[in-house]
Amino acid sequence: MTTSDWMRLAPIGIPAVGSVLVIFADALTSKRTLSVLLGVLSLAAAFASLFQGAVVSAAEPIAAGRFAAELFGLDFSAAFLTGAAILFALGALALSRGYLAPEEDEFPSEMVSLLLLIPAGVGMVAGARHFLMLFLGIELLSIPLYILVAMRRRREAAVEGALKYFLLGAFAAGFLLYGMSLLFAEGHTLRLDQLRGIGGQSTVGLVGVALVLVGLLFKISAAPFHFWTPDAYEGAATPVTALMASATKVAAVAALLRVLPLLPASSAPVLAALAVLTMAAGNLGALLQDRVKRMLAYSSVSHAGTLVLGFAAERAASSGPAAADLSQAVWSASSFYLAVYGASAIGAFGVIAMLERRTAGDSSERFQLLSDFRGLVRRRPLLAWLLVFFLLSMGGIPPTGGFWAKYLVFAATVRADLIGWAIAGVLLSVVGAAYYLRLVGALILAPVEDERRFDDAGTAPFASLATALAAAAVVMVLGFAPSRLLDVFAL
Amino acid sequence: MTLNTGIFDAAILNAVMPNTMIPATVALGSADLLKEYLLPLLLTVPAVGALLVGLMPGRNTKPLWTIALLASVVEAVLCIFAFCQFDSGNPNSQWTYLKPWFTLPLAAGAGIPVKFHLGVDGLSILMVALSGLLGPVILLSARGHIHEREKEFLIWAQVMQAGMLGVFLALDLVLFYVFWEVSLIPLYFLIGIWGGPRRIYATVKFFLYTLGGSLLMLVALLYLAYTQRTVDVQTLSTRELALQPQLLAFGAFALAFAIKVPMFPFHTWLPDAHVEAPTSGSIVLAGVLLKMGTYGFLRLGVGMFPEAAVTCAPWLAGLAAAGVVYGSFLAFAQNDIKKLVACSSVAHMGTVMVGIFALNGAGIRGGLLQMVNHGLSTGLLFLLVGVVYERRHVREISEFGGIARTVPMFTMVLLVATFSSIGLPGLNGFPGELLCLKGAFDFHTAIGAVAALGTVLGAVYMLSMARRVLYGPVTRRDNHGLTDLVGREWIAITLLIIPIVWIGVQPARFLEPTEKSVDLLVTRLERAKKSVAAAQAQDGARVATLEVPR
Repeated sequence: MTTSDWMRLAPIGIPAVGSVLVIFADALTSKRTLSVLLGVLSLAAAFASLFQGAVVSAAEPIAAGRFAAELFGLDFSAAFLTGAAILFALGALALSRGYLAPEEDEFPSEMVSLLLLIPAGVGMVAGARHFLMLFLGIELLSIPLYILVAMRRRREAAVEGALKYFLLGAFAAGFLLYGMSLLFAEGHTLRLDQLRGIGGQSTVGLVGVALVLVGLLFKISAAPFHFWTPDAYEGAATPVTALMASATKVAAVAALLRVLPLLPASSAPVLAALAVLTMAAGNLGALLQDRVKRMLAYSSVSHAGTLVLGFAAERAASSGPAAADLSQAVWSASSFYLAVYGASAIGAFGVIAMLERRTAGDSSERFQLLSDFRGLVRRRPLLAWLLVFFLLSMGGIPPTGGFWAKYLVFAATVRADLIGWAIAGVLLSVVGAAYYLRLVGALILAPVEDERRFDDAGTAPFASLATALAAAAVVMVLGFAPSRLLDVFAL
Repeated sequence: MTLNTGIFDAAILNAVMPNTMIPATVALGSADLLKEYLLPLLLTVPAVGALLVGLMPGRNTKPLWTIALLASVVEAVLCIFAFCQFDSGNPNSQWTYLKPWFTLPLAAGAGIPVKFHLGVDGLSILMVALSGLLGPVILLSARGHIHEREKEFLIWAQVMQAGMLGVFLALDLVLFYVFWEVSLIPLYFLIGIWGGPRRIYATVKFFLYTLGGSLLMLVALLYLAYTQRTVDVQTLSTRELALQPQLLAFGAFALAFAIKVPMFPFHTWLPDAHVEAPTSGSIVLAGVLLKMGTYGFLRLGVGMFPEAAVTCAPWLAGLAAAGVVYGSFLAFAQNDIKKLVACSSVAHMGTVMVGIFALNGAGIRGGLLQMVNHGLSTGLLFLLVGVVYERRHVREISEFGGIARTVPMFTMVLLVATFSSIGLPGLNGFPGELLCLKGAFDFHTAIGAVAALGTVLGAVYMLSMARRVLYGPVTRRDNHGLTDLVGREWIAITLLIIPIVWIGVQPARFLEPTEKSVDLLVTRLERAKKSVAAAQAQDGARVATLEVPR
């Protein structure tokens, strides 16, 4: 391996090494600040490496027999997704500072260590040129997540969520592997570029691709593979939930974008139907929830549906003359969507995490139910309005970035002539607005019975507040000037 | 791209080169500079007002009100300045402001440019003036009933102002859509925070109803964008689309606008929203927000899809005429004064719609004038309902009676508002209604006749309301001690009464700016009518030949 090969691996290598160093540091000193510092530094270094020779041209021919080229290479689109995941991990790290209660080993260094593996996994998936890398990347980010969900081990909900996530995740990994083995049998290779269009060539290929798709749809929590989502989201510590909603979704989208070229064009209606089913399951499910984190979990399911609708558009046009344009449009729409939705999720869960913080010795559950948020604006106007802003963004209301995200995906869908599916999608997003408004109504409109309830809500720590404000800034800038990102994509 | 030669060429020229009239070498006078940036300024003034209010500490609310009021007065002066300086001889958009915003990706290196494109012409100038005028009125009325969370109120009221003006100024479909939705959020909070007991139900109903309509419009917008490769309203208005896609897109746009207007049978959200809204919310809702619907019909519905509009006109005008009668009967049945005024809005907006979908010069002009009239008279009525509500905290008609003796000034103003609302000659309602009905009769006698019933029915329910509230014996003891109008209320009322009388006395001054733009639209519509008639004749001929196979 040459120096440039090492440079290419830096965005995934640095956080992985950092993760190991954190564990050593923890053994050497009891100061937790050191592990946080190591975590922040390695994430920052990984992010910086994206600008320093780690990115390869997508047009570059793939040299066989060289690991860093044949299996892995971050092109610009992959680098964007990796960068987003690194920033989301940084946000989750900031939010987790002081979040866990003292009796639960407040902020264990293991958490930092595991957290660092997630952007490494996302980078691996995003840059995968080979099914093995794709699979390894997915496992690299899933296994730490199973542990992170179970981190608050004394809580039944955490253990239950983690168990469901793990069992179903293992099942999905099985689907993925089985699909990969069928594809290998059919195509005699696992290189993604050589497997293009294999789903349309033979029945075995089609079954293989379908199985791979099932495995990945599980990861993006698309219906009917979404049942783990509410439990895992609710059981996890809120900063971890924020990470699951943002970085994990990035990984799933990155993987799906890699696998899409394998699918036949005829898969478009299937994907569209799955997308609308997912939106329906997510939005209608969220409407029925009384617990806020579950509600947001279902909302993340519905966002997965919107993203899959974009993929359907890409496939629908793949046999037509506008194939290249549309795949570029869908890529930029999905990336924009992930940036905005990820920032909104980090922000929204961040606000909830700040509210949930407890003082030492207090183990009560709070800010769980929708009714717990009633009248928050009276005592915590900044946090309440921030949460409202993130919810409006998730609901796709202008002038937030969420509007443009939805707009771009539906634009691609309409352009690919899937107008009926687009109409179904927008009508379901009206349902989406209904439950976001329920929470907004509780925060802002509802009268408050007992204001003292909010007095002991933990003070917002600087790191968390800064993260939420930064996320709000991203959502707002992208709302007023979507060209900031779109121009970057058009390069 | 097929451009029809002729009338719209000037529009395109104006859109592409907005500043050709002013050579760069000539030093710009301050008035010219003001005109060049007038429209963006109209959007920035309320935004800056909101920002300033937001940055001030909220403990002492008095300076907040001063800042907001100051911003709204500046805004009103600018809007009226625009109205006075408006060049009535120019049918196209004036003072256009154009700045690239972002590009919707289409293909490698190409895309659909989305622009920050503002402009004002005969269709929008009256609405701009009205929105500006209502700004201070809203804040003055709010001073009496907003006693908690004042800072938030002032911010949302300003954001609302910017959003509404944006809708009337936008000449880019995407920009229009953004402002259209942006104006939803402030009203959601205005009703939801400061409204009555069932406010949350009412505000969510309002929000979801409107959002549902507008999202379908979004799909139609995207469809247009990709088939026509542009989102510029002026360019789209010159395209000759085939009838079938026109009908589909028109349908989606019409649904969004019909919900906003609201047209019967999509009106059910309105009485709820009005009854629960605070007075200021009702004024803004009736005064400007509903007009976004009728304005959208004119600017986008009729403007971009003339053939579809011609095809659907009998249905829409008929539905609107039915709404006039239905709204009147609804209003007649109400015991709550506010609900009565809300239902009368359904009827009056029906008249506007009948005028617009008569699709002739008189009707459209009448519709435009009547939009302003309804804003003024209904705004005044809601203001007055608020005045008594702040004193008595009841709104049932039966709670009043005989208050003419205790509050003579209030009585006088309520009578002016009532007469303005029923279209008494000499006040503003008369010329507007007359033109709408003239247009309707020219279009179709039956529709005109049904819509004309509205004027009679309007007189019935409004006068009976005025009689029951104002005259007769004083039945409630509380009404003896009612205080008459106070200074703050007088200012707000005067701001509304001046244009009410002025339009009544000199309607030509207010119709004149609309003249040329309406002529332009009518010319296009005449062509559309011919082509639709020709197509129908052809269809008829084809059916005839099919029926008689030889």
